[in-house]
Amino acid sequence: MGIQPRMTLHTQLVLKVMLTDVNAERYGLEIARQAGLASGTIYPILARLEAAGWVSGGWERIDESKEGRRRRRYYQLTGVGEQEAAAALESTRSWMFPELLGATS
Amino acid sequence: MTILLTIVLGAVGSIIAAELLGLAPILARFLVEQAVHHLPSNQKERYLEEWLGDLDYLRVNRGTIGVIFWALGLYVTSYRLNTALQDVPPLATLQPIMPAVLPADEREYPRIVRFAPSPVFDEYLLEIASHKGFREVAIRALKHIQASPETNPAISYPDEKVYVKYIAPCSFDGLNVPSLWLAYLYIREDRIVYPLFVCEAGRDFPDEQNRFRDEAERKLGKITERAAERIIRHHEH
Repeated sequence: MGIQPRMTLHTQLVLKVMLTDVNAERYGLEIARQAGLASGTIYPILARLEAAGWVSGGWERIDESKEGRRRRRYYQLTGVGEQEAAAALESTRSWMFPELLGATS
Repeated sequence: MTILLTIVLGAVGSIIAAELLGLAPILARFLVEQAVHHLPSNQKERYLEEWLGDLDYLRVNRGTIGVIFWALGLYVTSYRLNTALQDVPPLATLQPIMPAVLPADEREYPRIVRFAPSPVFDEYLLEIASHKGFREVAIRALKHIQASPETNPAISYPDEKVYVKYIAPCSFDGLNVPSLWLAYLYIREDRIVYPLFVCEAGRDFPDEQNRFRDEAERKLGKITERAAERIIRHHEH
């Protein structure tokens, strides 16, 4: 019934970045850079994580005319996402790409 | 003569390069717009805004060539994003059973418990979800609301911009008590969709079940008050 995101290596890298500070609000570009992913790779992953309820997105609250730029969209792990992501990484960490994912805590 | 030719070619080359660099943001925007065309119609506006926001940022921070590569990356992989967005299940799989649950005179939902926006909501959801029996339903419903928040609301309240998304019976503290109902709502404000949470307790059940109901209501009442305060503060800032 629910949607479980596929635990690809890229997805795990994204989750690992987001778990480093669960309260941080990050832009898609920022997550991509920290995870070492290309620009186009990050958005399908974020879309799946949002659909699964692991990540919530929100718009930056700025006055666009005053700032002279458009507002940006940020992403943050949800409470559920934090739990599920930590569990998912923990379950895959021991046998899958341990050198890339490292410790999740 | 050779020196003169070198100088002329250098000058012309510089002019052409400058022109091309000047065109780069336009080309990047064109690529972003083309990438958005590959997405489902209800997602185009959102991603266009997100990516143009990123483009503004990149133009300042990454330089012209970087912007082109970034936009090209979006264009090439936009098909994959389209597939990811199509994976979202239709809302028709939900159970819009609210009218069957509450009697007509309770349709105003005086004891509705609301949580918003997401980070605040999640915190309180987890507090409730820690009770055995709520967790599975809560997480499942949360996934649904996050999955497809914009289509086919079961019930709507135009004045409040609140839409009922999902309601399900759930148990509390391990007892399968059908007097407790869990609903998930969302509220649209501007183009932001906030998930909301509702728990509505039933009535007229055996004493033991009523005790759990009362306990749940008290707890949810306190949580609601705190959530409301935080929501208000959030909106004030």
